[in-house]
Amino acid sequence: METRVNQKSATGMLTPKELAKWVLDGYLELPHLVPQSLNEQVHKDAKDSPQDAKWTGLELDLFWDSSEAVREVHKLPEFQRILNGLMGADHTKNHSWLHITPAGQEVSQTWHVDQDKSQVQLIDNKPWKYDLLTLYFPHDVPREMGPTLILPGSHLRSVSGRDLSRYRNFRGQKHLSGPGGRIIFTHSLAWHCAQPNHSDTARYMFKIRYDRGKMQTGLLGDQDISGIDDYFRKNTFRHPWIDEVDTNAGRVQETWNNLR
Amino acid sequence: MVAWALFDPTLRSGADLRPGADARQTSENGNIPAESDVGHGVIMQPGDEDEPPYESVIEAMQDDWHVIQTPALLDDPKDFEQGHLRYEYILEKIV
Repeated sequence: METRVNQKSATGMLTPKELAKWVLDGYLELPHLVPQSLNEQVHKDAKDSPQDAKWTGLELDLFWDSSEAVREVHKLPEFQRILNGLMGADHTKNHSWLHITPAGQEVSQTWHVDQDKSQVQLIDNKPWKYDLLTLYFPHDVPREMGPTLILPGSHLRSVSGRDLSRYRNFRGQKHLSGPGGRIIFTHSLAWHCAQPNHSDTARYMFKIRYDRGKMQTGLLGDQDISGIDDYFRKNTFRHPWIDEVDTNAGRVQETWNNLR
Repeated sequence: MVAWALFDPTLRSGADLRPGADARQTSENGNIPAESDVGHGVIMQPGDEDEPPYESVIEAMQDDWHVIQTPALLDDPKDFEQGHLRYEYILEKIV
């Protein structure tokens, strides 16, 4: 089900530092974004949802349609600010899905990107042309429960998504563990994978994919960006797994210039 | 060393390769698997380790790892658009 977002309800935009962090990392994590009462209701709704749901392609938005609480979460003003700040005008909601990692799940997903460009030229992967994934954790997710694993900075690279599965571990990979109520906004080219759940409790994560509309540019309006050069100077090389530092700096600058 | 993958053909499938776990003590009696259990092999999973086992290939070689394949160098790295990781070595250790 495709839903056009009402741009008239959009409020605010990213700060320059938020956009700069997005350019460097490929994700933004907002802790404590969701009130605890809503988290508890979404968690209850999730536990009441069918546990044997599989990815069939036929029941997208099943949880979204059935849980009023999860729809309320995604109406929160701070969520809408980041969503519209990253996506600009005319983006659409592609689909949503409740991801369940059962208790005792021992197998990790392999590294992948959801935007599978394996059938097209790799050069078409531009980090300033992205779709957006939002990952909502309604309950606490310690590392042993299998939070999503993400590789900060990987969205800047042009790869064929399926080929990533041969990689295993990286210096600087980030386990998205933490308290409930977090929403992580993720670039569609960011490398990531679900993790094993060594706990005795199912792990729930609700994901929405948003498609871009018009090209994302001018995202900061006329905000003052005078301090950003210093931020990039201090942080551009902070991801320890990236070795081609000169190429990476150029990619960062190119992306920033296209988005700001 | 910024990325790594380990495959151990002497371990049983299901061995625990997470940090701190003794991957060899996976049989029911807690001992190193019997010969009949060996041979399926175990490859580490994403998220098993956050720090590499060695700082460099040189350090791995000093710990008796043999280099069996080195990466091909590109003619003009300046023209390289970022993609998959370069400088990939394949190492083997016989124990």
